[in-house]
Amino acid sequence: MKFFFALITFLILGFGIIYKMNYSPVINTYDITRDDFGGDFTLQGIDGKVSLSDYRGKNVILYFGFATCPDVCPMSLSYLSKALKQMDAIDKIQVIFISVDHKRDTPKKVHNYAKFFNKNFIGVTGSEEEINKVTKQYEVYYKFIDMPESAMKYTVDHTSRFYILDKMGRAHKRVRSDETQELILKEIQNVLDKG
Amino acid sequence: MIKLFILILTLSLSTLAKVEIINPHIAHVIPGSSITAAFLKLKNTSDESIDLLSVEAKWANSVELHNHVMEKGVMSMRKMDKMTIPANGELILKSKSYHIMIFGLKEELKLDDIKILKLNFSNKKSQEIKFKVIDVYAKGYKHP
Repeated sequence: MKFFFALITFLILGFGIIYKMNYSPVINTYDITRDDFGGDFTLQGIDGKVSLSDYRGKNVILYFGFATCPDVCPMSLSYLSKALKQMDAIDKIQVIFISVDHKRDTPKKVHNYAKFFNKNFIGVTGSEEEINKVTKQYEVYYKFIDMPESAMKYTVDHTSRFYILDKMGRAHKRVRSDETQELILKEIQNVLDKG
Repeated sequence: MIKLFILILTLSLSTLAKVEIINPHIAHVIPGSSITAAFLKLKNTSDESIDLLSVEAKWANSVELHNHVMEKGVMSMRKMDKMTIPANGELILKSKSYHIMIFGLKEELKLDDIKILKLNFSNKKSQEIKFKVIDVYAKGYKHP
């Protein structure tokens, strides 16, 4: 009987650890000013390579999603566009939409997607290797989920967050896109104030 | 005989059950995309739950029922076999929740266009509903 309980405990713990490993992207803090977080990256834009360092001197907000995302990504990007207009900060901040769907999205598709929400937004994507590198840097979780019975064939589970960077490209804050408007605006303003 | 009568009565009552449709609309299509989503509120005025089983559009390759789930900051979208409208209750299809996905648009959808979607319910009833194409990303947009 003892063995049985020990086995059950072991299994529960084991599953817990595996679950935690797979779903570890969520850390309950918004502060991401760590040396091992973020950093420069180079991805593909409509006119060729785009690096974060190209925007040195300008605040940057990153959003990771995919262009077939019919709801959460467009809602997040349109929200961002409205928020930046409201703050009169559209020229001060470069929004970069990064598509993690390296299988389906092209730089042109991602470019058109981002521009639809605001002409100042840019959209980029990359090879599997490039996407895996940048998502690791920014602790973005994404996973392809097969949907054979759907016209989509597959969907992409992903974290939906805004990463707010300073003018030197250093990541400061990470805010979930479903957070309150007040919090998102406050966090953007805080980073803007830092320069 | 009485059982049969009750069965017939129950069946005929359930076919009377009607689903009320509120604020049906389709999201404005993002340029370069051939997919979009449709939203509405479904109100069941009967004493039995009714399932939305499928949706059809002549102007698209396929239409599916989907759900969005946000769990621990991870957004997932999944296809559903049906959506249940509870008895004397309602089901809201809106952003970040249940919605209708439309794939392979055969024609361009312009703002304010009216498009027909056929909703097939479990009570063997189908309803052809007019959906208006609107800018769901505009300021002031309110979900159903």
